[in-house]
Amino acid sequence: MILFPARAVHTMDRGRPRADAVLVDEGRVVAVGTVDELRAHGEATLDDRFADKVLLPGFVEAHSHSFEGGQWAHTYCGWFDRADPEGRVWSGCHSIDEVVARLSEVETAMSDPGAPLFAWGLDPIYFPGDRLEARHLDAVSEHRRIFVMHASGHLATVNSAVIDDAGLADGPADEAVPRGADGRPTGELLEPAGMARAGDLFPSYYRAMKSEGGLRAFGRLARNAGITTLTDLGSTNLANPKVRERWRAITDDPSFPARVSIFHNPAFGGGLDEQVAMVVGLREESTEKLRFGHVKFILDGSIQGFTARLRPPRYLPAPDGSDRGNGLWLVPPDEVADRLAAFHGAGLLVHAHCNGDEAVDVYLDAIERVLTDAPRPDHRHTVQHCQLTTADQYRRMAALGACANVFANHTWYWGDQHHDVTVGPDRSQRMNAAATALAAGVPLSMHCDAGVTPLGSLHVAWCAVNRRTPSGRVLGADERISVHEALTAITVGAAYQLKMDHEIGSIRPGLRADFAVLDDDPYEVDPMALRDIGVWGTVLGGVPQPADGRS
Amino acid sequence: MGERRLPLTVVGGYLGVGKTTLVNRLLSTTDGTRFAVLVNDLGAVNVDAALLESTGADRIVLSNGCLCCSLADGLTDVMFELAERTDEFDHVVIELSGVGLPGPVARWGRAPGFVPGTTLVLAAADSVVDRLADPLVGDTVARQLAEADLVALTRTDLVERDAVAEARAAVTRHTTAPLAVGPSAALPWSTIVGAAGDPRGPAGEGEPGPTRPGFVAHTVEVAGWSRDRLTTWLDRRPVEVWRAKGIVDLAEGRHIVQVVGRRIEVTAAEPAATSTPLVVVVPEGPVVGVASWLAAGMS
Ligand SMILES: Nc1nc2c(ncn2[C@@H]2O[C@H](COP(=O)(O)OP(=O)(O)OP(=O)(O)O)[C@@H](O)[C@H]2O)c(=O)[nH]1
Ligand SMILES: [Mg+2]
Ligand SMILES: [Zn+2]
Repeated sequence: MILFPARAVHTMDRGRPRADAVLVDEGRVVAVGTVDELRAHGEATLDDRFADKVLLPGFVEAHSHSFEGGQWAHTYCGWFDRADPEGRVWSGCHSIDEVVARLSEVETAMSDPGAPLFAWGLDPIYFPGDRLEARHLDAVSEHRRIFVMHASGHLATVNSAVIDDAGLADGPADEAVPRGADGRPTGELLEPAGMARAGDLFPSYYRAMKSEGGLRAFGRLARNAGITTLTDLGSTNLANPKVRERWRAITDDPSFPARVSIFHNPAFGGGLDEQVAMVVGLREESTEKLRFGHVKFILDGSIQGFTARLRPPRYLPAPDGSDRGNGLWLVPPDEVADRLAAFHGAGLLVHAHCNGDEAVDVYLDAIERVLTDAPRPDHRHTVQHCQLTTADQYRRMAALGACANVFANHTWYWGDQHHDVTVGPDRSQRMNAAATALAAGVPLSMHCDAGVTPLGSLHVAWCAVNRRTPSGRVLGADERISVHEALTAITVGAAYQLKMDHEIGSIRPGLRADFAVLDDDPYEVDPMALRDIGVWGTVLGGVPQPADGRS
Repeated sequence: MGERRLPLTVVGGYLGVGKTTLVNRLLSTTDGTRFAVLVNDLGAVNVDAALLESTGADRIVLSNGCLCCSLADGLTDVMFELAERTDEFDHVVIELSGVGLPGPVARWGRAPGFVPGTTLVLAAADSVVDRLADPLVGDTVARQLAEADLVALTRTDLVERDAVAEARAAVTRHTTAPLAVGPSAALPWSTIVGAAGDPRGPAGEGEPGPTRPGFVAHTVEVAGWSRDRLTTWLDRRPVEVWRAKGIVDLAEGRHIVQVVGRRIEVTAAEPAATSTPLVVVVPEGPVVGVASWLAAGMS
């Protein structure tokens, strides 16, 4: 038994919300209390390394994707400062000049003159009017091939070395490789089909994102943020046994510092019955650190990409006054209930990506129909993102027993764009309405959707508590929630939606000894400083996992 | 990646319009062409497996082509793989899901390993009017139609002639693509896929593919024409003319001509390419406008 005294232990458990110390044995919590109380359990080794730290349940990220780690194989050039898996913070690039400067710095340091330079994270929504083109990248190098992936995943930019090497200027013009007034390709490549024209570059970029090193980096990023349970939400093809074996080997390695719940995405294909049988079978392959058995649907696109399905009045008009129309369905709305019925009927849990409120209507209609035909207690079907979910929809979710996992990070990363460009001042203030969800009695979690935004649960909580945008707005003051509500959502709230709350998400006797180890007390700091609290690392199953640079 | 490039035919349209029926039909009438058939997500896996085996086709399942949430995109994986395996196939056919937009998928036709084929969107005569008016999916169906090279109005055998006319009118409000009308299984696949199915090269070589009964091939002598004159003439073709191809000597030099549905491509040919007549495939019998258009080309 090991006894960890701490400056404070916040348990997220109503029975004893606060304690001085926690006693751990064989990976599980024996008890929390004062040091004296814990002595009652018998002989224990005192480990006082956390004496001045604050312990919380290890954070649970219930909506993330493993490519968050893999993208660090390439050079970061996004707008916001972002920490890499080694804990080094890369400053944001706030103009095309800064992007060019960042790439030049990296290019100069590259030893192999033939190696291409890959970069990621570019989000031109933050420098409107300016587009990154080949002519900019040519200032980085005229010889080395350069490939820059935009944050949306829908666009990439290459330099003239790529245009020449891949012969992109040959043949007739077409929309995947747009051309400038001079008839030369601009360097922009649209959609994967356009990126694939850059010869071997796109396959190389893409494979590096999915490499084993990338998956390991995903675990390090989690640990550095205090996260002990991750999800890979439908971005891995579980039908491929090699993929599962690789995840198994990685998570079996004691040095991999997180549990991972990997959801099946039906979009990877196969007959519906086969898929249901596969997921049911996969549950048997779960281990202490690796979980299978849940399902992720994707109903629509994203709001900032104008591809989410919105109820009227939909999107603001484009700057030229034209109607933006509505977004995209990724599953035929008529089929959602049948698909849900198949997985639900087998006792499985289904999370559905619904950014827009029209998509939420379709999913709730499906849940209602399925539950009417086949009632099932404690299904925990969850609406993911809920960005524009309205008060009536939250009340309906409560009645249906559905959960909400809210994309709280959006108020920071795209809040100003939602206010000015996508849906306007009114609806942007209602977005990611955590307070309304709680008032309706809907079980709440909140997420970062890493790699869309960086892994970081304290940042997610900070967003929900403050709802600040980069321009300084408070976007929807009435939807702010308390620090305690936010911390509950990123711990036990998220564990509940993964059906793991009997195991993780709070600190109480019998649960796994998974802790976030913080330098300061989130209940005591200024709420605006929540995201700045230092993270020492985590404890996973009773084993301390220091972040890079900590010990 | 080999030099070989596989024609890419995309078949789209809302749920239940006959996409799989049409794809099965293609596979059963094949003459040894090795098809890679990709079906988009779980709505569409009822392609007859036995049929695929007997024709040596490979069925690969893929996810919807939108990357909004992540790079979890089955299509990208599959296209990379196919580009490495072009020797094993002659033609790629992708059946989209009921809400799939054909445009982004068809653009793979210009990626390494592929050449563009026909983008065919089906609309069912018994449902398309309602679908287009549907508040949830009407805009999607309209976008699918707008992105087609060629539209097929199917399930016409299930409704009265008036309803076919009504459906036809509704469809043409959303697309300028030529229209083929008839039950899914009776559509002239070989003409639709046509010589885009020719495994030998990107375009223009050989005959325009076998024509089905009901279609005739005409040869048009365009040698010496300017590029402009040729494209102007092709632009004016009646909607019933889906397919034309040839390697022809224009005033500007030797060019490959490909007409598939409404798509017209006139590109410079390798000097070594052997010239062929321009072959135009048109429906048999009197079709308004075809004869005068052909006559204009032949004069
Ligand atoms: N009578 C008649 N039946 C048709 C026709 N086309 C399709 N069908 C029938 O309509 C049903 C759906 O056809 P499919 O070919 O599976 O349609 P699909 O577009 O592949 O459907 P999804 O992949 O589910 O979107 C089947 O029962 C077909 O036999 C047609 O032209 N006439
Ligand atoms: Mg089908
Ligand atoms: Zn996601």
